[in-house]
Amino acid sequence: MDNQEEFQIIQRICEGEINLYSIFLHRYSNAIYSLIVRIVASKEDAEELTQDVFLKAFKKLDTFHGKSGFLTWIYRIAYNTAISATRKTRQEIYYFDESMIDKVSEQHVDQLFENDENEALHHKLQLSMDKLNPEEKMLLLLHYSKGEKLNDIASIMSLSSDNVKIKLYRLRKKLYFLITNED
Amino acid sequence: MKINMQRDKAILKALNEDVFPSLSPNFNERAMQLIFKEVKRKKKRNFIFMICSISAVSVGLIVLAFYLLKHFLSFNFAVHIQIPSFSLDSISQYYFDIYIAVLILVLISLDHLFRNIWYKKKYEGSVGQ
Repeated sequence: MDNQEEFQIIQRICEGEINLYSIFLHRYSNAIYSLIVRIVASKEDAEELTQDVFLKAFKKLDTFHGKSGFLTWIYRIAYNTAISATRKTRQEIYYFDESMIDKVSEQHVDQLFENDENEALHHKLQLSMDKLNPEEKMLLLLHYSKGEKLNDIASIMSLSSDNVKIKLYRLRKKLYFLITNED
Repeated sequence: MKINMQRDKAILKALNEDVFPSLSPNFNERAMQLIFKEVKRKKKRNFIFMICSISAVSVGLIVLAFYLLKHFLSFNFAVHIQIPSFSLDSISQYYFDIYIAVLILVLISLDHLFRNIWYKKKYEGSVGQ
């Protein structure tokens, strides 16, 4: 189903064919849930937030103009909902000196992340990802796991494309630093 | 500065192999029920808003009409509006009026009841499809 078809279905929903909304629920509920559950870490909260996201999207459906795909549009709602939810709950904050990033060489980062056979690295990476803040986790998930384009990530996170690029660049270095200085 | 997703194989693997719980099997049905509830609530809200708007406009027009009649056309309400008088002869006529009014109320209530049943059947049928 392309953007145009999705937009036509949304227009029909706005005209009163509410049942058609279940198409989007069946298609995208797992994608939204898998994103939120990695941010809020509680299965129950994530499910409730996913429901919230779809309800919010339904209420705002008349503001969807089809410029981007429905998934990108709803990711934006999911992003805002998940980030607000994490702000309401107590989160463990991991202090990190951002100036350390500048000392990390890009070549070393490239070499480390090129290797996907190293099990120890795999384990360390997962531990390091837990130390990232919700915005950083979301950026990582949207880029690597969901395969969203930089422009779309920029639109989801209300940033410029250049800003997304810079954040991703620094995020890789931060992960490298966290892995190599684990102890 | 280039970000090449495919080059970062380790990050891709760590994220894609991360096992996360799945949604409850009836999640989509529950979400759709919530959507239908929201639609109902919205309709109710719009109806109340419409009734309030119509009432406000009607009251405004009546007040305006009274004001215009009294101050600009020097209309004397005490002279022109008759106070209804009740006598024994007219009571049978009132009984008939009351009978008609009750009949209309019963018919409107039945119409409302059958419409509700029809809508419920229609929605339940379409959700199950």
